[in-house]
Amino acid sequence: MEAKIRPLNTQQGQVKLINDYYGKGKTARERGQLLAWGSGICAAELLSAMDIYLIFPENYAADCGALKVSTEHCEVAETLGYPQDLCSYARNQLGSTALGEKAKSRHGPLPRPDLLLCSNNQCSTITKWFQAVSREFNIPLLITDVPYLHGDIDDERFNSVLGYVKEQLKEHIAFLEQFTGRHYDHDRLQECVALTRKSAQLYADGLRMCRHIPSPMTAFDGFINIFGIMCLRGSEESVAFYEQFKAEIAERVAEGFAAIPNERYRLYWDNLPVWFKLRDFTTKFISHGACVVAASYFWNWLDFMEALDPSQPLDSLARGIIQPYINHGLEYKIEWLANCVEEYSIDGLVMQSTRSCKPFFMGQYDIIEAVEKRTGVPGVIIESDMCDLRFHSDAQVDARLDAFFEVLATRRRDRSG
Amino acid sequence: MKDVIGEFAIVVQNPLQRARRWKEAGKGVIGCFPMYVPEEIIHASGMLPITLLGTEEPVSLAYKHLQTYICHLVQSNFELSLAGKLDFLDGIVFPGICDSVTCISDIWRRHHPYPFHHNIVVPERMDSLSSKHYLMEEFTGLKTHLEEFSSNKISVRSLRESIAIYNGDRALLSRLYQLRRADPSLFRARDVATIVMASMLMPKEEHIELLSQLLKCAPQAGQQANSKVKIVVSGYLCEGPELEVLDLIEGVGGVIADDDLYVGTRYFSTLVDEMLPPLEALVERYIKDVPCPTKYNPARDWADYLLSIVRRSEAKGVIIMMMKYCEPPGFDYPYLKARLTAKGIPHLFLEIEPPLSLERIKTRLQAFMEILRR
Repeated sequence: MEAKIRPLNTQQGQVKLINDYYGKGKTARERGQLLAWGSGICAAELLSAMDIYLIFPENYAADCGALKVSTEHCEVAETLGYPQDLCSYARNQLGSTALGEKAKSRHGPLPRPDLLLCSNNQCSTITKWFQAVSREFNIPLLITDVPYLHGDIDDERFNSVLGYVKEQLKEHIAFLEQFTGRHYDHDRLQECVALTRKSAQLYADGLRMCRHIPSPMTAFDGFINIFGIMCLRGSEESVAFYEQFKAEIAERVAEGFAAIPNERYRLYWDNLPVWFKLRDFTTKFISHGACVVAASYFWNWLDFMEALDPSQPLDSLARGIIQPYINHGLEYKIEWLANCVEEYSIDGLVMQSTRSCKPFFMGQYDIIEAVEKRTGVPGVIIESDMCDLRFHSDAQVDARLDAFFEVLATRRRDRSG
Repeated sequence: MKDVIGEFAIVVQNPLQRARRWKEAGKGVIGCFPMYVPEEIIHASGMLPITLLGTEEPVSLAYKHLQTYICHLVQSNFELSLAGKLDFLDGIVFPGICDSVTCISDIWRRHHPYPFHHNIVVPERMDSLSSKHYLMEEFTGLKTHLEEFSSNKISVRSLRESIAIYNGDRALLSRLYQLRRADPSLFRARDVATIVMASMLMPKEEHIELLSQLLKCAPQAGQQANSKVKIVVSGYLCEGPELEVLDLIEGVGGVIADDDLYVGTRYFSTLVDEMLPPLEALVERYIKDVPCPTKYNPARDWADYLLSIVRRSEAKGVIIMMMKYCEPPGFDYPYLKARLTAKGIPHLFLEIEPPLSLERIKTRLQAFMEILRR
């Protein structure tokens, strides 16, 4: 019998949210609402405050990945001339758009945007991707250029980064006022920023409960329930969803519920989720009594959103948008993970190396080495991809993980013996 | 002319040797990752900037720290460093041209640091006033860091002098390309690439001297009808092209009339305005530079630029060579393809992954030539 874990009840509510979200995207134009596409960690509140409907092609790709239709989209993009080594999220969108109504997603193709907003605070690939989209649809592209924060950054340079980002947000507002013919509404921006921050705090509170032993849920539950954080920013619906999310996890903690029965090992997951393999990985982990309790992935949003301050919406957006985990240099990541190992009582690091995401996979060897040196916790690299199934080999990943669990078992025996 | 080209070839065949000699004379050498390092500032500090173009030797040490699916330039430069072959460097500068170069900087510093380590976090936008200001701050930061390191104040005057020298070299290289355009059979493509590459690896003053000599004795455009097919090569955006590939193009009946290569027009086409305050002029140069796939500037369109090169050289076809795992130009390729096709200009796309399979490339080049001759 296939081992399963109990999904969060809250997750049921998400199905409707997702369907409504994509449904409303399709009818935005009929409602007379402008529609934009945004990158995952962009300054979305600027658009929400201007009543522009925002769609995230990365979420769409994750959705296509979970349903295993993304590879087909990627292949279509390749026939257009996009090399196979490009980001699979990007290839998924480019291919699905080319397919039009024949797109394989359960939501159909993404609705045509009027405008694009992206930020390279996650990678510089995103600006190239959005540039290609901007050319395809012949629509304006707003880029919030966020300089990378190397470890050697001093106060002066940090301030120069902050000044640059703030200046661009102002440029965006000026553009949006002209584009929409509406005035920038400071109060509305405050509201949106406050709502985003509220949902982020609730979600983060829930995730942090995985510090409990045994863990009340797995980080994969966190992945599955991230939709609202990304796509429903600045909304009441998102706050309501994460109130339930947090409450349910708190309940589980109170009951002493263990997400993975007989939790033996507590793991950290690095890099993006492998959307098409979440279930298989879970089965594998259950068979070893392993629970993934933490992941850096979430903090790309949460470090940004928890920095938001409704009393200073624009300033705090500028401060927040430079903060994603992935926009930081190697020393920061090592420090971050060493702390995470302590806080979440982690026994092992599973470093998923997503072939098409360089900022996330470069440095993983160093991170493992440095974190093990500091904490004694070992790590393993497994190679896969977030939504291109061709980059994943079950046999290879299985072999790596089995060997890794042997290492963990030996260490456990040595320690108790 | 042969003798002078031989001098350049010596530099290129052993790219670190000339710089090592400079170091042995007691002067500083700074290695630069390609493209967005304003070398003039390093020159003005009294040190020699050289561009790190990787190595054709196989990569092995780097795989202890890096996955295999990273571009050749990053892998092979890091390999050189881990093998100790760059130990003569006083420092290294990493311009933010892509995720790979950005991320290798921190990894590099952990494993093989040099006394001077500097990141220029180049803005990805080149289309706004704010990005111009930010780039100015980054270039100023490089200048200050170099001053601290070399205990040498970089004066406005010395910076102006350096800019003039670099512009001088750029002008000579442009002259060489003009001659080639007038009669592409005058120079072998490998020689032209060698001359440009040498400029990245040796003191500019010496390069200017040699190149001036070469231009003085360069042959004049011939009158005979040329049966070779004129080609423009594009790509290799941050690496030197394999000279063997250029040979192959000529071997199958092509002649390279002009290029859109990093070790080519991309390196020298844009002059620095000597009338402006020098740092501002350097910023302007990068803002106004040829369209670059690693930067966003809708006013400077790569396809327009490539088409203009094809037009001015009256080429019959374009060969686009892109490095495997290099993302920025990959997103532009379908657009280039569409624009070239719309103009009826045939092109061949080659994905380059060292070590090259020359036989395979040759077969594809031959097939492409067949199309062009039709």
